[in-house]
Amino acid sequence: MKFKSSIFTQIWLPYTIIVLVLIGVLAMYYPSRQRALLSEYKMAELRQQASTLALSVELSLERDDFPGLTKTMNHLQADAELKAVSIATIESNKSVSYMTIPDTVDHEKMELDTLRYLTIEHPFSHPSMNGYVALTISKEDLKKDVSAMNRPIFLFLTLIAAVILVIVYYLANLITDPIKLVKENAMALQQGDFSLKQSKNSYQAKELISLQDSLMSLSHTLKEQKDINDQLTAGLEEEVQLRTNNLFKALEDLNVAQTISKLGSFEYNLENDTWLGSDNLKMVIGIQDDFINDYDHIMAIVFADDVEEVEQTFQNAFQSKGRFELNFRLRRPIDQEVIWVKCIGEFVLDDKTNDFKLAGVLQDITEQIHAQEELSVLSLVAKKTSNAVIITDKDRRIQWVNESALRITGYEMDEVIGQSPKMFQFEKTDRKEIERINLALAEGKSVWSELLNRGKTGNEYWLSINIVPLINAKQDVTGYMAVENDITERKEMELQREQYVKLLEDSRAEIRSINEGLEKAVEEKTKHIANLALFPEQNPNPVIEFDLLNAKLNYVNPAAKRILGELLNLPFVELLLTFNITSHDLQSEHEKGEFHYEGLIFEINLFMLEEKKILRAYLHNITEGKQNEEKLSHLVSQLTHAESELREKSDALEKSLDELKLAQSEIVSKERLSTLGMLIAGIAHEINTPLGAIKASGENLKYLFTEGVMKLIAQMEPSELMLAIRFYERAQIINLSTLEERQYIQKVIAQMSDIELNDRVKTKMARMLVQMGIFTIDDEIKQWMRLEKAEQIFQLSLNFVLILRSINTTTASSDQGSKVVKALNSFAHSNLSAQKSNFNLKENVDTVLTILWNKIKQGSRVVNAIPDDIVCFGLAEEMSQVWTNLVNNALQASGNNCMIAFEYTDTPTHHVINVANDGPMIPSEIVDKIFEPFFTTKARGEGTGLGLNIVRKIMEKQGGSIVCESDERLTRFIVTLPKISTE
Amino acid sequence: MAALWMVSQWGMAQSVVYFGNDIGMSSISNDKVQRVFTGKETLWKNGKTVVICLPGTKSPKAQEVFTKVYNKSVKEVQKFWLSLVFQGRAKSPVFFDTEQEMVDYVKRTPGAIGVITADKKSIVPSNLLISVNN
Repeated sequence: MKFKSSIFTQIWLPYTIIVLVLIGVLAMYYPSRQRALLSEYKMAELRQQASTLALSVELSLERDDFPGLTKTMNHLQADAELKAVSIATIESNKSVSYMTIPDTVDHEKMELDTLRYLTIEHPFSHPSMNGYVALTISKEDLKKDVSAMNRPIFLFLTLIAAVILVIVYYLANLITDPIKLVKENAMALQQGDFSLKQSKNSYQAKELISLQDSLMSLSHTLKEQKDINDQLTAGLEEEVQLRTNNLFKALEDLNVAQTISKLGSFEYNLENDTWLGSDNLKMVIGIQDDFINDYDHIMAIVFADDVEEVEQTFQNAFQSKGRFELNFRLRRPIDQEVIWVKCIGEFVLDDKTNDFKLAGVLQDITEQIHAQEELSVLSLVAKKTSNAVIITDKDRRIQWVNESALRITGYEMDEVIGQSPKMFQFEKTDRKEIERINLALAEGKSVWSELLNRGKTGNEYWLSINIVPLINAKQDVTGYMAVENDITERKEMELQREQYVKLLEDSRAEIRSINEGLEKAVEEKTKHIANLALFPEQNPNPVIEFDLLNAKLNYVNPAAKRILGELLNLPFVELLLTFNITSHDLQSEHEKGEFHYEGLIFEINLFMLEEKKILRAYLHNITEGKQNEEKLSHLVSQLTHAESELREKSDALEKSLDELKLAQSEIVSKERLSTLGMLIAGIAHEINTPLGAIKASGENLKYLFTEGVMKLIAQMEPSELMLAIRFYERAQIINLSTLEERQYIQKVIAQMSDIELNDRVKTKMARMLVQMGIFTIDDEIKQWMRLEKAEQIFQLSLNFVLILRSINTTTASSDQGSKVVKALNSFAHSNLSAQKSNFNLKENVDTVLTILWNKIKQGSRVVNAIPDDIVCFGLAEEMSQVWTNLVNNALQASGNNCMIAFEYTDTPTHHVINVANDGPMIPSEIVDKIFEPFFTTKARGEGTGLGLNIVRKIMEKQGGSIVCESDERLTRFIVTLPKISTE
Repeated sequence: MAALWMVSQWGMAQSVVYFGNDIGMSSISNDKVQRVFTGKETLWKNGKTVVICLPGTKSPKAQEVFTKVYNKSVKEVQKFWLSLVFQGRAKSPVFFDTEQEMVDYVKRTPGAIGVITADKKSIVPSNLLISVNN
């Protein structure tokens, strides 16, 4: 009985209570929920009705359709639950008036009595009136409805509870009775009562047998399960052994991998300050087994500069109990080598000691760091080098270009990426050279070339290109790298140099031609003299024939009679002796020598005629010839000297061009290419001008000598020649304007009134006199003018003057060329010996102005107001570069139309040079940036952006300074240079 | 100023004419008219149901007619009839947008009585006109 009551108390009673409670809760919840649902339904219905009524009111007012409202009201009044229906209109003063059905109800009172009534309102709106409709129902009616509805539910639930209790009681007995019987039988057996009690009904006996069978079955199942478990255990042990072996193998591989990657692991216990490292780690950081493994000794091998960072990282990681990663240096105790290591660690909780410990790995990354540094440097070089660098993939699509490449081509980065380098080529690009490059690259070879390309703006530029295939570890070509150097200015220099050399060769050829002309003219003159000998009557010189057989004079020409006169009356032999003719002279024709008579000089030529019976003597009066010869010799000497000087100057110019090329390369190496390149066009012009003048003078000389001198000399008598030379001696070389020349000609003509010549001849002679610088006609000149060959004499003299003028022009032009080249040399050799020295400031500026004169003269004006005697101590040639930049910038900014002034003041410690110009103002927002490197306002390709930066560095190097001030009127660069004297 | 305009409009309000069909009388007293048009009398003496015809509230003549008949504004007339109809105390009048529609309706509806401004009197058949006595 106890057992049964226990079973009831512990199991069946709680179960019954739970079931009853659940039913009770259901009985409570369901009506509540039902009421809520009904209320919500009613509310929704009321809202719908109120909405309909409000709409009906609005429509009635809108359409004057009051029958429609009547229908709605009839429908509402059919609802018996409605306690009241109201229409409330709101007046403009907010007062409300109600119309209520039934009119016996006080709507306001019902609306306020919310405990008993539920009122739903809905607004209506019409232009003529606003308000709301209200429907009211009784809450008590609602509750009654719910109660009525829930009554059957309560009855149903009560019935269910009763049924459950009965079923539970029956089932309890059904289970407990057999157990109770087994227990009673067992106790009976214990007490020796073997008369087992049978169940009162057969159903319970079956239950017992069934229970016993179940126990047997359970025992059998458990035994089978034990066998299965034994098998599984054996399999698991085998699996564990296999996995352990694999684990050891993996550990061994890991150890090898760590050794290869120079990686080691460590643990640091904070509680007992003990540090444990793997064998690999000890090898990496170079410590022995006897190393003391505490914090201080470990930190002692950290590189001194990195200790603070390492300790800070450990502390931060410890405080946050987080992971850290840090690169730092160690000095290996074993060999004192400094290595870079990457340390990755984490503070973790030790499961055994429950303390925090630091665990991590440490890897030697020295090689990676060095490789990264090298890569970084190389990358910077590639980016910032003045050479253009272009990298393509193997299909020659551009992958990357550096800043210089963009600067040279004028493209933006996104415009070239993915494009072919063919985009820079155009019709002038050498196709054969391109094919040669393609062939070399196809064979995997590097190739060098010089190509003419075109930039984005159409600018053409020469490039020196070196293309290298990029090859990976498998020896496959992965791409190409082109390093390009802009050699446009070098190419242009070469072209100009070729032109200069050709010009010089032309000049030499012309001079050779002049010499040949001279030789030819002398030869012709000699022939002319010989011809005269054949016609003695016409010979202006004495011709005498001696009849040796009869000892008398055979023939005496008129000139001999006129010149020698009485001398011919001497006895025959005495006459021969007078002429120094001896028996030796009677053998053959020959030149006897000179004969002097009454101040005249004759050259005697002897000829034997008629079988040596007749001796003919030609007495060639060479008195004036001798004098002319001296003059001519002097002129030829001058010409030869001029030619020699011309050759020297030409050689010097050629040499200077070579020096110019050398100077250019030096300047390129010092980032001064842009400045020199900018100047070279002007310099070429300055050199070209004197060369042109020299060439023109050479041509003049050639013409004057052949046509103007030699031909006239051939037509003149020695006396006329003498007159021409005397006339030339009175001449002076002057330069007259056309107007002045015309005025002087009129004056000279006016002085010719007493000379009987026609006007044309007078004018011609007057012009020749004026061109010779003779403006006053004295009696001697008038006498000459009356001579038969006056025009030829004047012309010859004038030609002598013109020859001298051409020689002067040649000399002056050579000097001008030398001056330009000297200035350029002075400029270009600046940094070769960058030594400070004393220099004259004004001259230093003047040198620059000479170089830039070609540009300045195009519309600008420069005033150098620096006093003559200012001597500065510094880098003279580099100061030239400063002035060049400032002047050139002003010229470029103003379009060669500005005034530039150099003014000088000083302070006790400094020279102050104020370089001002009235060109365009430099905007205030960029005036502070103009000295920054690569800052330029010029069009792409015109300026490097380095000019003013170099200027500032030059001034800083000398302890000076440069600042810029700019307003609408003037832009001033104030340059200061310290006063340091070496004296 | 608006007030002055209103007074002027009221002062200028035209007189109205009443007309009916089969209402059992050709003249009617002013008091009777008031009672009929306020829904207080719903049957004529001849047993016909009273059908009130009024200008539509949006009609331009509405205000003039309502002033003469009810001495109320359009809004007040609307509210008046809304209240009566809502409470079921009277049958709703019939409203017309034009006078001609109203005349045509009265012509074919026995017991109907309409009212329009006097200027439109000509469109009412003389046999329907009702004289009003004070």
